[in-house]
Amino acid sequence: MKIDKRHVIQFISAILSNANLKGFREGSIWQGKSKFICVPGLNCYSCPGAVGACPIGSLQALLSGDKKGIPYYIVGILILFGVIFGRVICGFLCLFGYLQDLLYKIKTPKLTIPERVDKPLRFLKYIILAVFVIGLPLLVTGAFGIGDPWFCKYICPAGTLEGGIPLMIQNKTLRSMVGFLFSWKMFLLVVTIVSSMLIYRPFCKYICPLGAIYGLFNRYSFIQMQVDQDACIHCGKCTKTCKMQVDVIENINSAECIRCGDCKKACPAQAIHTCMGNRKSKTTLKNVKKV
Amino acid sequence: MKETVKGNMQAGESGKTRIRILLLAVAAIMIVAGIYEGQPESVLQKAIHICLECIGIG
Repeated sequence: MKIDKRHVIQFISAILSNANLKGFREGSIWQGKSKFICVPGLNCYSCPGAVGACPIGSLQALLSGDKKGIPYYIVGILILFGVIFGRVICGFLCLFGYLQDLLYKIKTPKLTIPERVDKPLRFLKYIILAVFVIGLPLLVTGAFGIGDPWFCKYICPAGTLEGGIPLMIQNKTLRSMVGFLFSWKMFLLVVTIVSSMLIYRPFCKYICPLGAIYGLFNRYSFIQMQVDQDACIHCGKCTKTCKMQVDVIENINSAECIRCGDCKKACPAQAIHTCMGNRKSKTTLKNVKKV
Repeated sequence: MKETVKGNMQAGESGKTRIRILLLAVAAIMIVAGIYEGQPESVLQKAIHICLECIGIG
């Protein structure tokens, strides 16, 4: 059986991000100093295993806190991760992305969302980023000038799955506090799980604000993908294979590409490469207009 | 013309390199500014306590 290296990296990353296995047994969370460092993927810091902070949770925590101001620290970390990796993080390092990959492997009918629905829906994650991650935590405040982490509280299924369920299993006090909000979050989690079996990475495509941020860096990140136009035979297999529905030949560094490498494996001409920074690629004049 | 196309591509790539370096510098400055403002401590304080909102308690 051929082992997919990407899945191995995803598995190792999941374990490293959630190495506090004792927390699952005790129903408690890690309180070590490592939690001031953000893991690169979407990983709730209330997960009993989490040894780092969630970048999106941390961003909301700084925006909604009593000390209003630019969250330099988290924004700097997001820029750093983005410019180095882009959405390689989504494809290789994010636990929630990994879970969706595993769910998609379950043998169910698979749905393709029509382009006229899929394309506009891809903008939803940017709206969620602007409104629920940045706008509402910053602007809607309660007592003492403190706001809520709106995305974490009302939308994020990762918190329910990684934090809520494991903690509720072990902690009677938390179970006694369950109300409508938990039911709503469980509903969203079930929808995410079911849709992940039918559609490839629906959360990453349409909802994830972290993917929205990293996608903005895909064009400029150090890790790039390139199509060797000399070798490309324009068979279209790469685009047909791409489960994120990227037009590989036209826009391989699209904000939607999670760098999974499936297009590379599918290419019969081995024309697709991953490279670091500027790699000289051969060009062809076939598609260039004469001056 | 071949040289013009190659030249244009190299100019594009060097532009991207400048943007990458600029972004790295911005990231470094922002992280240092955040540390100066004590923001890592705020992140830590949030992360080491169970986030009731995140787990669906509210």
